[in-house]
Amino acid sequence: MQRFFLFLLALAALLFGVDFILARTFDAMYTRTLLGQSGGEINQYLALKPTPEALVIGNSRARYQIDPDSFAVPMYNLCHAGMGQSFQTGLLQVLELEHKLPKAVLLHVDLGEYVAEESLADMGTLRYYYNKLPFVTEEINNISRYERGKYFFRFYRYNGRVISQLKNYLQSRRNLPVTNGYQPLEPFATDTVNALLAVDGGRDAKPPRFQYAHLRHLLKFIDICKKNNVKLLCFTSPYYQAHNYGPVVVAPLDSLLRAQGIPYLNTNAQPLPLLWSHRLFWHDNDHLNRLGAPYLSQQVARWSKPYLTAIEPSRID
Amino acid sequence: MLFNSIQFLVFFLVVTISYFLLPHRFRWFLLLVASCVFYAAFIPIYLLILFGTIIIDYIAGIQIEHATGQKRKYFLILSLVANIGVLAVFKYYNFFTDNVNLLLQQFHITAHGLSYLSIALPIGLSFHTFQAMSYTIEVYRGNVPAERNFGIYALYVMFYPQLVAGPIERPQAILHQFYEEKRFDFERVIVGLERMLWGLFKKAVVSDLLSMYVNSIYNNTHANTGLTLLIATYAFAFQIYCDFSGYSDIALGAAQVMGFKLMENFSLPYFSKSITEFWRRWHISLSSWLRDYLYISLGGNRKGTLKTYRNLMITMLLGGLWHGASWNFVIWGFLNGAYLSIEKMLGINVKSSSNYSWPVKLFRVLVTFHLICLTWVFFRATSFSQAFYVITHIFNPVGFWNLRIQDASIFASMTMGVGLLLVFEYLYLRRHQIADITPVRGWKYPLAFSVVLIMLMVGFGVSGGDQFIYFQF
Repeated sequence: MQRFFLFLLALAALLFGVDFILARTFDAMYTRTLLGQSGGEINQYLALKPTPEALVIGNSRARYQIDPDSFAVPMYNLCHAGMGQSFQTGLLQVLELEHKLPKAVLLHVDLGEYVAEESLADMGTLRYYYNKLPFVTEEINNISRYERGKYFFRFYRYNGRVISQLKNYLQSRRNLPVTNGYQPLEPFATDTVNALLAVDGGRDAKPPRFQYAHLRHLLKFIDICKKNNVKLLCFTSPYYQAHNYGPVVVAPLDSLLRAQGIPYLNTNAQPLPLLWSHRLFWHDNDHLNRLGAPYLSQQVARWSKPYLTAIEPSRID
Repeated sequence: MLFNSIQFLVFFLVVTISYFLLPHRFRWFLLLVASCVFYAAFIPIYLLILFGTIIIDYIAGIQIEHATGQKRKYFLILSLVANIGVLAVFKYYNFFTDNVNLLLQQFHITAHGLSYLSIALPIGLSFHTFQAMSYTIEVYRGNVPAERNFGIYALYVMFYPQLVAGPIERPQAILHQFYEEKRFDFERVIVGLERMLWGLFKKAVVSDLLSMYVNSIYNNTHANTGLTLLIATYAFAFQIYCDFSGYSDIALGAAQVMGFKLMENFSLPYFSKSITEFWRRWHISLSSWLRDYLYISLGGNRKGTLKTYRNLMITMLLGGLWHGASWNFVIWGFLNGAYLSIEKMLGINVKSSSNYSWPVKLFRVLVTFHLICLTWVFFRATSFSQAFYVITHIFNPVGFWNLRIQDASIFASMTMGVGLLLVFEYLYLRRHQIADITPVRGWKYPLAFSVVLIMLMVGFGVSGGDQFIYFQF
C-alpha cells in the first residue's frame, strides 16, 4: 500500500510539473497570438495603438455586417460569431482588466438570444482568463459542478484548441495585415437559396417567451460601461423575414434600455426598403452579405453620429 | 453514471477504497450495493425489472439442479421466457408494432393499428439478459452448480463494471471470483488503472472527437458526397471501436484493480485478415455467446454444408437484432452472415493466414476492413434510405473529391487521435498486454504512460462527451 501511495505521489508531482510547463508554454503562445476567435482577435485589439475611440461588440450579425470605417470616429469591430451576451460581458471585463476600454461601445443586441436557452458554454472562449477574472471564473463554474475539478489542470484552459492555438500562433508570427475587425460575407449563388429556405421553412412555429433571466448579463454589461464612463449604444440588425419573437423581445428590451438611458436602434422597426426588395443583398435570413452590409453600416453610423460626436467632437469629420 | 464522468471517478474511488478496507465477508455486499447505486443512477425504477429477472433466474437455477427429467427443461424454459419476455416488451414490442401497423395500412385493414408503448429501454438490457441466460443454460448443461447465495448471484448479473455494456460473462468464469479473498496487489492495481486510462483515452479523445465529425456528416448526409461520406464511414468505424473497446478497457481495468478478471472483449479487430477472424476479435463475449448457445445449438457445422450456412445466417441475423430493433441492424447481421458463409464456401482458413507474406496480409486486412465498413454504414445510418444514399454516393464519381472537413481543428485532432491509437495498438499492444509494455517494477514506464494519457485527455478530451454507443443495446 505504501508503494502505491508513493507511486500516486510521484504521478501527482509529474502531472503538476508537466501541466505547469505546458500551461506556461501555451500561455506564452496565447499572448502572442493575433488570430482566431478563441482569443487571437482580442489580442489583436489589445495590441492596437492608439486604442480606437469606439468598439462594436456582438455576434456574427454585427461582425459580418458592421463596417467600422463607416462611422464618425475611429472604430473597431470586435465581434465574435456565435457568441451570446454572456461572452460579450466577459469580453468587456477583459478590456477593463487590460485597461483597453474605448470611450464608446456599440453593442449588438440579438433578439433571438432572449427567447432561447441560455448558453453558458460561450464563456469557455474566455478560458484563458479563468482564475484571472472573477466574472469569467464564476460563469465557467456555473456550466457544471465539475468545472472546478477540470480547471485543476491549468492546461485545461486550452482543452479542445491545442492544435488551433499552435496554428494561430505560428500564423501570427507572419506580418499580418492591419484590419478594422470587419469581416464581410462574400456573396455566392447558393446564398439566395439559403435565404429562400429560411423564408419558406415556416420557422419559429412555437410562440416564444421572453427569458427575463437572460437580462442579467446585459445589465452587468451596462453596469461596467457606467462604472467606467463608457458611452453605450445598442442596436439590432435586420432580418430578411421577421421572426415571430421580434415583438415579444423588443418591447421589454426597449423599455429596459430606455430606463437605463441607453439609446437603442432596432433596424427592423426602421427598415431600409432597398434591403428588403433585393434578396441578393442577403447571405441568409439573418445576415447581409458584402453587398448589403454597407447600407446597414451607414444606417447605424448615421443614427449613432450625434451620440459619438458628443463624446469626442474633435475627431468628427 | 457514465465511465467518462467525474461522477464515476468519485464513485470508483469510494467503492474501491471501501472494498479494500472492508473485511472479505462484507465485500460482496458492498459491491452489490455499489452496483445498485451505479444502475440506479440511470433510471432507478428499472432496478425492479432487473431484480425481477434475477429472482426468477436464481430460483430457476436451483430448481434445474434439483429436478430430474423433463422438469429441468421446464425450469430452463421458464427462465428463458422470462428473460426474452423482458427483452421482447422493452426492446422489440414497438418494432413489432411498427411493422404490423405498416402491414395493416398497406392492406387498408386499419389506419390506426396497434398502439405503441411509451417506455424507455433499460440501460444495458441486452447485456445483462444474455448474462443471466448463460447462467441458467450452464446450470442446465451441468457445467456449473446452481448458486445458493442470492446476493452473490445478484452480483454476478449486476457487477457494476460490466453491468451496462459487458463483457457478457459466463458463470464458471466469474462466480467463484466473488468468493476469493482479494488482496491489494500493487502491480495489479497499477496495471488496472493504466488500462482504465487507456480506455478513457480511447473514449474521451478518439471516439468523442470522431463522433463530432461523424455526426456532422451523417446528420446531414444529403449535403455530402463521395469522399466526405467515405471518410465519415471510416471515422465511424474507429469511433465505434474506440467507444466500445474503450468502455471494455475501463470495465476490465476497474475490475482488475479490485482483483477480478473479466473476459477480454476485443483483440485488435481491424487487423483481422478475414471476417471470420474479425468476429473472433470483435465483441468476443457476444460472438462466443452466440456461437456457444445459438450456432452450436442449431447444429453448427455438423449437419452439412447448407445447414451450416443457414445456421450462420440465423446466428448473425439474431446477432444483428440483438443490437437494436431496426431493419438496419437486421441488414447489418445479414451482411455479416453472408460474409461468413462466403468465406466458409471459399475455404478461407483463419489459422493458415499467418503463413502469408506481409503484402498479402496487408491486402487482406484492408479488404476485411472495407467489408466491415460497408456493414457499419447500416449500423450508423438512421434509416435504410440513408444507408442506401451513403453507399450509392460513396461509389458515385460525380463530386467525389468534394471533401467537407467542417472544423479543421477538430479534424486535425481526430486524425492525431486515430494515429496515436494505431501506433499504440500496433507497435505495443499487438503482441503484449499493457503490463508487458509498462513493467511496474521500474515505475518510469507506467508513470510516463499515465502522464502522457492524462495530459492528452486534458488537452484533447471532449468534455461532457457522448454516452457510450452500446449503452442503448
